[in-house]
Amino acid sequence: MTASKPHRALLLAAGLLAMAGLVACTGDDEGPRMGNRGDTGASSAGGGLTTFAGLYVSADVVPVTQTETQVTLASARPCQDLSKMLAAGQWRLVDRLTYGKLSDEELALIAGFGGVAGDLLQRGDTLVFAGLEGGSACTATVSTVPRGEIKLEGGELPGTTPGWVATTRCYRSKSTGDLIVSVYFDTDAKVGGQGQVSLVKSGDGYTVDTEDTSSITLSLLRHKGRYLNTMSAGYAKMSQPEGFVELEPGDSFAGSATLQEGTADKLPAGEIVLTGLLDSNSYDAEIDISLRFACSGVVETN
Amino acid sequence: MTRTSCGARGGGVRRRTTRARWRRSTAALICAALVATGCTPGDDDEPGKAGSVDSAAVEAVAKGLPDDPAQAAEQLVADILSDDADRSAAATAELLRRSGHAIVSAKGPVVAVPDQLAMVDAPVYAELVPLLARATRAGDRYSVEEFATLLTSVGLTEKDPTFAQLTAAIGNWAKEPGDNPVFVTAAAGVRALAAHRQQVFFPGADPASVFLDPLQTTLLLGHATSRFGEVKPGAKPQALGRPGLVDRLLGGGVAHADPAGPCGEFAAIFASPGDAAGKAHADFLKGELKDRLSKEFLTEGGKEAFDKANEAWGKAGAAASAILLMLGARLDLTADKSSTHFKHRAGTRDEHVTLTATALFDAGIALDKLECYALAGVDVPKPGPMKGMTVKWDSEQPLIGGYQKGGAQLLKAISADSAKFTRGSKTGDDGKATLEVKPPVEDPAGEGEELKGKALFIAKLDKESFPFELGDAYGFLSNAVGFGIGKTFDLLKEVLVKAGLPAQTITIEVKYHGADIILAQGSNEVNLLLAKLMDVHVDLVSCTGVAGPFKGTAGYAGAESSGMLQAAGAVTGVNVPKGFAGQDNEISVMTNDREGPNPFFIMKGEGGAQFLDGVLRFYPFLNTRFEVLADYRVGRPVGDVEILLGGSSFPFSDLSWPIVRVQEDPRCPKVKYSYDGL
Repeated sequence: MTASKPHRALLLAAGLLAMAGLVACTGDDEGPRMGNRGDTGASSAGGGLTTFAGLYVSADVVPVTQTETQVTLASARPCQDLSKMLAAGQWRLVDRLTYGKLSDEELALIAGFGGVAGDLLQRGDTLVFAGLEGGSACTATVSTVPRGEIKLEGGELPGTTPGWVATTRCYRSKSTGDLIVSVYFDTDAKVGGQGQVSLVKSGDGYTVDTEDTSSITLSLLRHKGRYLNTMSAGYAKMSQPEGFVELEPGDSFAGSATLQEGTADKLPAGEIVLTGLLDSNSYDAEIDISLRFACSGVVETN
Repeated sequence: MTRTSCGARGGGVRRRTTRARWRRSTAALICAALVATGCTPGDDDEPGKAGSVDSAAVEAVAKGLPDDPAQAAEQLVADILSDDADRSAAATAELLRRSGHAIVSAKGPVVAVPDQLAMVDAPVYAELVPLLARATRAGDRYSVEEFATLLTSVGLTEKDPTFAQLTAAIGNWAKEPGDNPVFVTAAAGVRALAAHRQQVFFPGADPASVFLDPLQTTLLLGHATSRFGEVKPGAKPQALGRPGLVDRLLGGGVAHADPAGPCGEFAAIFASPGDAAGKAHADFLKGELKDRLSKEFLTEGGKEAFDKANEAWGKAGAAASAILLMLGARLDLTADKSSTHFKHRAGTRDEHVTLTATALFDAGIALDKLECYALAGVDVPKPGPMKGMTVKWDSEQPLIGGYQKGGAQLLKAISADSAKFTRGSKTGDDGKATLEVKPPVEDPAGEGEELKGKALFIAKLDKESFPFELGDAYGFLSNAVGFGIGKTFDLLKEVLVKAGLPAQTITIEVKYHGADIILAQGSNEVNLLLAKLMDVHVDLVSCTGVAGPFKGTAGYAGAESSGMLQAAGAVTGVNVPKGFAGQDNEISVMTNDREGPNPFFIMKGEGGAQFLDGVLRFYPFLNTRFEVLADYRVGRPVGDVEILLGGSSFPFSDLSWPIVRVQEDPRCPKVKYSYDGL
């Protein structure tokens, strides 16, 4: 087990790298903390949210933005409270990511590269991820999470296997249109992970930024339960969970991004394919990954 | 045995129309249910009209429901709470049926049979279903604490479960894949009923604002305590089939499925009538509330509190039925005025408000006696006012700042009535009990803006009051599946008085002059990596509540850097004005009492770029915590204020602070309030 300090250092370094590019987010109309700008959403007649039927909130939790795929809830409750409330309606808690006792500064850095605590909730076949941010006044950003085939190939990875991908943040540059996508994912084969990938605008679509590979962060975790719960246990103990590996672009690294038609300028959705990745511990077999993503909201950056 | 008349009877003068309607409907139901007794509808009795719960109404409600049991339960709850009383009663019956409650007639026949699994000891009287629907829609309530007491009273627990245990159990109940649809339906229905009131059952909920309506109470009590038996495949409700001509002529009705007579028909729906509860396959019981409750208790080391669950069997079914019957005990609560004002001089009575609670019994049942099942032998009280009942009073009022000690309520009882809050007051021959309340006196009178508040008054029939006679029951002897808790209802009475009777509420608007002081204050430094903004702050006050206007200043006190501030700003997207001396701007924000975000402008940055903005957000009902301000004033949070940098929340400094209600501020008029001696 790796000691806690190197892990923290990794977090800080990654966060600092991300910070310069991400702090400048101005966010016009959407995004996790855009409750100050968006139109006030409405609860349904049944007391739940119109976007996600059966997701119940009490009267002191206010839906501040609401689209077909995302709702942002402002509250004056601590996140622990809001989390329990969201899981007490008709949706079932499937997985939960918490950051243990990390300091506010560390949490801010994690947030800088797309990390956000939250709950994976399920109703029927539908999954949502509720990202939870804030201290005593928690904001929840609830977004749909698609299920589908995830390709994890190379070494002892399972190949193509069913799973889910939660797109936790999408940042888009106002000037260049470039996109930064952050995701969590988990598979039925008990291999999950998270990452952040920079996509460069190219014509009507996007390509993976292979020039500046430092902008790609990707990790995998082979676990025995669920990805988010296992990571939470690691954060609680301030040590990397067993089976955690970071991936780095190798010499033959290549990537591509395919966007669904008509989504590029709105809420981008599509598939990211990365090949030629290496396990940063062993540097042996090359790893190929294919993940679908779907931005439920986009933060426009300067 | 008294034969039920199938014609509608007239009601009393006060609620004549309503009662007649309910009576006709329930008579229609009974006629539908009691074909076994040879009762046939009279000419003026049309099944299906005016809130009746007959098979056609239930089938109509069930038609087109989603396949998913939770979604179906949500749809049924929407119907239950709709404006259509007929549909509401039918939906209530269908939700109960799908949740495992058989619907039975008080005279024996089974009206509706659950699918696959049914509670062996908790059938619901069909005659009481319209009453249950009415009380649920009317907002009758039991507190979670009262329900906890009820569980202990019936012997399920040795000590009352905590609010956290019960709400956690309800919030997580029957959500796992493979849970039996009976439990999924009941659980989803209970949660959906609460959601319509914008309530969520979870440990962090406010116990004062989350309650159980009568339908939730029935479902939860049944599922927490009852045993389940497998329903015989193809079991049909006897009442749904109409007797043939010969049967009618002979007056015998349909043949009873059980030789024990009409009261034995319920047992016949089970696959193993002799041991109905003993045969339910364990796989069928996945998702039981008892399991969930047990888990919650185990997590808090309270296993011993759940060891006597078996003792509850039978008692709880009887208790649930009696609770339904008690819903016939109604309280009408009225006031001689809906709005008043604080007094401008002591000794006047014009501002007083008199509340009148009228206790009535109106079960809407055209039956004199319940003849089968849990309440067999109980006489149904005659409709009319209830004399000698004790009405307990309570109130919920906002704690408005600026009040002197002793003047913190908008309305309080006059001296002569003050004991009514603790001891209650007895109803007279007309079933009425009154409470006179008074507002405080302003000093100085008329100073400041006119403000409004609302005082909620609660009238509740005292738990020692009991609306019907509990004579010896004969259900113990005549019941085929072991209903009955003994030859007397002493124990049941003990349970019921602890559960109490539903409450009713009324809201009075109260106007007053003075100040409702709301402060939005905070300051912090902002670290821009290469430089710091010192003391970014906001200081706004409203003397007129959350509607505003909020007036004051906001800005920053200067910057600390090594000539790098502009560069740091460029990196972070925060365009700081040139010159590091800082700046304060005058702010005025109107919110018009709007929930959600209320953005306001503070100042622009370099080159007119967006720099400092603010946002006020208010949250209703957030008045239970205290904040101690820097000057040691104590405030109650009502929302939060945040300063935005470059239009966004700044992730590396906390620029969000609570908005609080305080008792005084030098910027607002100071008015004192005190009560006179009346």
